[in-house]
Amino acid sequence: MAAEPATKALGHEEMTAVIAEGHSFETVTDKISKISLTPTLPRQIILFGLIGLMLMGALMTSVAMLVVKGTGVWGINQPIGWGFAIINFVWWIGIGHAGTLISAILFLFRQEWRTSINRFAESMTIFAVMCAGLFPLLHVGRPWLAYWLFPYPNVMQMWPQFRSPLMWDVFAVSTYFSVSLLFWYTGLIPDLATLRDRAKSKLARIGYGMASMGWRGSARHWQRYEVAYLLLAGLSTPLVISVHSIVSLDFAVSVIPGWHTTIFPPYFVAGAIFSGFAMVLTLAIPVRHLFGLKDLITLNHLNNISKVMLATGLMVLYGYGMEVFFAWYSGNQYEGYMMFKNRMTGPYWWSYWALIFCNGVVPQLLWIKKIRITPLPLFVISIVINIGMWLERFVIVVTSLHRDFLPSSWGMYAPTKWDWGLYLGTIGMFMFLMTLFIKFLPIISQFEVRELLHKKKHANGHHE
Amino acid sequence: MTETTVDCSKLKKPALIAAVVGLALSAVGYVTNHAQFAQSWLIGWNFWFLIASGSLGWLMIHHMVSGRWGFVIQRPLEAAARTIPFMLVLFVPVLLSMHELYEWTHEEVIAHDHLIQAKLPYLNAPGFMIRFGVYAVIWIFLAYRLSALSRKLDQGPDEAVVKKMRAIAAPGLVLYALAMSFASFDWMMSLEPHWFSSIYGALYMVAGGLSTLLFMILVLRRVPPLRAVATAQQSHDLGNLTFAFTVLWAYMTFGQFLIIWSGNLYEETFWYLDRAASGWLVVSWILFGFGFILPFFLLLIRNNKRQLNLLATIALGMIAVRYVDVYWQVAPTFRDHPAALSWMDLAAWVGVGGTFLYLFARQLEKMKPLNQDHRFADFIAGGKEGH
Repeated sequence: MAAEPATKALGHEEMTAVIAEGHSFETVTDKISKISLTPTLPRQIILFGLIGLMLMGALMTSVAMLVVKGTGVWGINQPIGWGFAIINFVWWIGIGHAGTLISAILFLFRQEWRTSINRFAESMTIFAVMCAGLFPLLHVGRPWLAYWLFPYPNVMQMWPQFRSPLMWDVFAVSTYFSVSLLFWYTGLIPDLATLRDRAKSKLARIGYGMASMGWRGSARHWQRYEVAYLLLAGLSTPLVISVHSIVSLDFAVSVIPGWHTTIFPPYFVAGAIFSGFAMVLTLAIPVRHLFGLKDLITLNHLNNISKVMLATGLMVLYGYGMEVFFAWYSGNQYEGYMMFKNRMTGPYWWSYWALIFCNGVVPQLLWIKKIRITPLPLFVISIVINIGMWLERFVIVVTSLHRDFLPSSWGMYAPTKWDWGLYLGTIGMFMFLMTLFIKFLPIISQFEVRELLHKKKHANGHHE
Repeated sequence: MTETTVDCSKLKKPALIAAVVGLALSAVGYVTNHAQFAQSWLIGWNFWFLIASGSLGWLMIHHMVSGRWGFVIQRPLEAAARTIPFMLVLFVPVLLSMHELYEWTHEEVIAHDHLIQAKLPYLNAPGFMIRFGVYAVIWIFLAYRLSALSRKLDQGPDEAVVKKMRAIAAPGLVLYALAMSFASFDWMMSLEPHWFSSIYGALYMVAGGLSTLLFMILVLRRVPPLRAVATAQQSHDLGNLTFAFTVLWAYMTFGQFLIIWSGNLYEETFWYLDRAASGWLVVSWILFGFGFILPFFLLLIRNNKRQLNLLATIALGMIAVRYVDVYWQVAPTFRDHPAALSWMDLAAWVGVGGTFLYLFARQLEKMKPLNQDHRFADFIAGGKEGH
């Protein structure tokens, strides 16, 4: 991932390009579909997938251990009942926000630069939400009874607690997952048909053929497709906001110091977008390098993603600032203690300051344009932000729970190897699923890039 | 591009009359009933200041994103932002009425109130005034610097100027957000010195952003050279932004309520209990119904956004609700019943409003009504079809 030599000499034209010069419909389709239709993968990707597969072993073992022995194998205790399970749930859900934001909101805003990264981000969303969903499912202790979370008439005459945001989470996350999946799949259909038509092997033709649901590209197909896509984009938009708002309410509706504060919903949403975009960069930078997609995922894309990260990062920082100010201004002794005596200087002080460094200090480098268009530092920054956002959830969950109102009920928290096994295991699952996606599906939306190309040619034709 | 200037005489004269009458009556109020005057002034002033300051916010957002919705209203935004120094002069009566408005200035209250004592490092008169000065410097610098640069673009395309505007707008937005937030804590939240809500600053900005959009829709409708270039698409864009901000405002307002209601701690809930008392409950519901439910459905309809006259009619109704919102934020501290209106409420609103509109018209007159930015020219030439 060496810095591109062309970086320095970039002119205005190249910087604003969402697709490099010299492409035709044919070359775009060739380039993208080749990735799925070639039997081999770059060695790095295979390695990436294998590591993922290996970590999935850890996932299976950790889950088996948990189911056999119960949640006691985790580090959770009284008073820290939430530990890694909730930290990782919120972290993954946050990462799962970029996809829908890029696909739906940027689509509605007609931002052309979304086109070559939307497929990628959407897939990431689906996989991240799958990882996220595992945690609460396992955290209930008896996952085989998880269907009790759904309100259905039953002989026990038992209903879930509708006033609990944990309950709202069940609806919010499952809706989010279903709509994202539908959105992702709908967008894939025309491209799946392209792969079907280009595939050489019989198996691939049958597989892609079934998945493309008889798409022939007729005018009626396209007309229906456009309507469906627009409707799904409209439906997805409020979901981007609602899911993480509800996740924030899991904390904010309580009276626990450090959790009960009104800025939480918008600040969580900003944080989710922040981390989602960071993950997009973490994955997109190596992929564009390995598959030679620099002319489709251009420096302009990196620049725009960085700007969104900078903006949302500043919003998150604003949230941190407000938390500190109100911990003092509220005059509430517990809030004051939580912020100044516990988070900042208590036993977990390192996590708070590491968080401020990762999410508050490092992203400020993105003010510098040169960094925004140089892949290597961007890649490093994106990883730092991923870590920072994980730390944020660690600080929120652990520091608030381990010392609440009564010193007699204070405690400490340390994750066990099974906590780590499960966490790293979900990262492995994510990596493995991403590898499968890269192998079998078009990682860039081919027809949308072609459409963009068409628009661009059309516009140029008018000017000349 | 059109070279005409805006003829604002139709607005200037009534505005000037309103300003003179309103300010004169308010002055009478100041002498006869200072306490009543202070509340009325804070409410009336806030309503208009949110438009002036919101214009600065939108202007910077426009420079950052260069959306097509922004070019048509850029000059009115600049004109409104340039009224900020004068609007801040009109804040002086609040500074003179601090004793009437803010409990934390009362020695005898402080002496018996442990909580206010703890907040004194922030809530004190010199601090209040120094902070006011800092906010003023930030806003005035940003408003005048950006509008001066924009006028440079009238001479012809200049990429360097565009870049400079961006270079100011990006950090400008950060400073702006901080200044607006703390201003809202100082001026509005500290009316109830015990109460606090960490979303208050963000909510204040969103409310201001919404007021500004509504005002700009009305300007677009009323000012002929602007109306002439505004396409259905621009009207649609502004309608969509208004829709988004209506939802955002409702989201934050409801989020604040839900979190405080669920926590059920008296240190926060008393603020809502005041607003759930007999008469105020009605106002709270009005705010919900006319601030969110009705505009939500009206703005969902495509045609209502694409036809500027329809959109302007909706905006007129919505801007009235903006007043109710400010009233609902401030007045329950002082009044047991929302119907306890005073003639000074009207006088202050008319006086400040007349002044604002007069100044706005004067600023707009001095400018070319349409920004001569080449990006805008390209955009107009590029076709009005709108994708």
